[in-house]
Amino acid sequence: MKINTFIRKQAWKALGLILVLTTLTAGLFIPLKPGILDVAPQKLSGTNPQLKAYVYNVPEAWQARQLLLQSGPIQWLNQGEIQSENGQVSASFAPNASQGNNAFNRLYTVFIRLENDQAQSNWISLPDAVWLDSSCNNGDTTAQLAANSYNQDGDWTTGFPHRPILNESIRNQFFHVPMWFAMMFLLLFSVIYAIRYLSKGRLDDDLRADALIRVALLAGIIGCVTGSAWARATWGSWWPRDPKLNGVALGMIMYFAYLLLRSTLKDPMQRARLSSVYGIFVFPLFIALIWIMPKLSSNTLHPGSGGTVGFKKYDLDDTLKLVFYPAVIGWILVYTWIAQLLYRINRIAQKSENHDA
Amino acid sequence: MMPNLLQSLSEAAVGFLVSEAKFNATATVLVLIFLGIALYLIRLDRKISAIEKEDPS
Repeated sequence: MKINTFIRKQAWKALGLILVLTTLTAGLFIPLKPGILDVAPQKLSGTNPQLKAYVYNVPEAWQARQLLLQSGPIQWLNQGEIQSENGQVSASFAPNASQGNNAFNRLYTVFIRLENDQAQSNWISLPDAVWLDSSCNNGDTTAQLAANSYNQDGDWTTGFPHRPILNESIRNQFFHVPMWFAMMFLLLFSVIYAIRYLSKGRLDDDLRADALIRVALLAGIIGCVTGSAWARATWGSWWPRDPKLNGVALGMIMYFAYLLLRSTLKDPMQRARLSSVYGIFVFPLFIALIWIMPKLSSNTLHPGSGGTVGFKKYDLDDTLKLVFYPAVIGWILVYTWIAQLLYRINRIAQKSENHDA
Repeated sequence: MMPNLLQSLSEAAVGFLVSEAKFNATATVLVLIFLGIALYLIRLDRKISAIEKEDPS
């Protein structure tokens, strides 16, 4: 084989492997930015309540200087010393009557101001993390919250954003989500080959479409299993009630029905024609079930759904994109390669079957 | 000279593996598993190519 042909025919496979390997490495090793993992207790009660925050990945040069509870316009700064050791930052608060009764029996976001040795500030937070009970009210009506400039002039080194609930598992975006992209693209490719079979009548195209659907199902099953583990860790259930999950389950069943249909037909021409038509019609249904239906629904957990058009800025910052997009392309290429191998094996099997007959 | 270089390389590798509370050891295992599967895919591809050449029908 000429070296040019070799490169032209194999380069996409090498590209897929390189993209997956680099995004795997980057996705695992790039650190997470600092953040608050959790606070204790979840409910503050009694006068001068103490709050402990578990901070994560804070560099040694940064020290906790202030704790702040905020809910709408109401803010409470910590009183007295801040103790910090072993990733635990604790301080006490003295909520009083100065900000009205509204200040109690509500959820507060916890902020921590960190300062480095160059007196630069940066904030980490955990939204709606603590409940302030009315028993915290010490009755004092003088405001204790000094006017403060909540400056943020420092920045962390590059890293993945630290999001509440997700924490380190945000990395799964580079591994779990590309499974679904690979599945959808392989199904799209299979539709293209099915259309080509129907217009040109070459059985090889039908074998290609079939291999693509089978490997797409593999990607879908891996996507379900990995998503289930991720959902248990973040949303608290192995299979949460979510339109996207139900849509995926139904969509996969339609493709399993395809496998069943195909296995019952013995005549190659009839099998190719029927499964091509089935594959073409089921694809738009599948896309509707996993993309459009969850978007129309308002109670979905997945990002990019529930009325939003796509990935919001909040969902995907630049560091994430830098790893996520190459990962999607890489996994699509690797899965396409696996499908190509399956097709080539099936074609050889078909040929030898024809020889025997 | 050579053993010294090897020793310092191995020390650097061990230092990498045990840092981040040994998370790097897990990440390295994952990367190696992927490399193994990737090499296997390449071998499988070449084997199938060989069979295709044998019987170019």
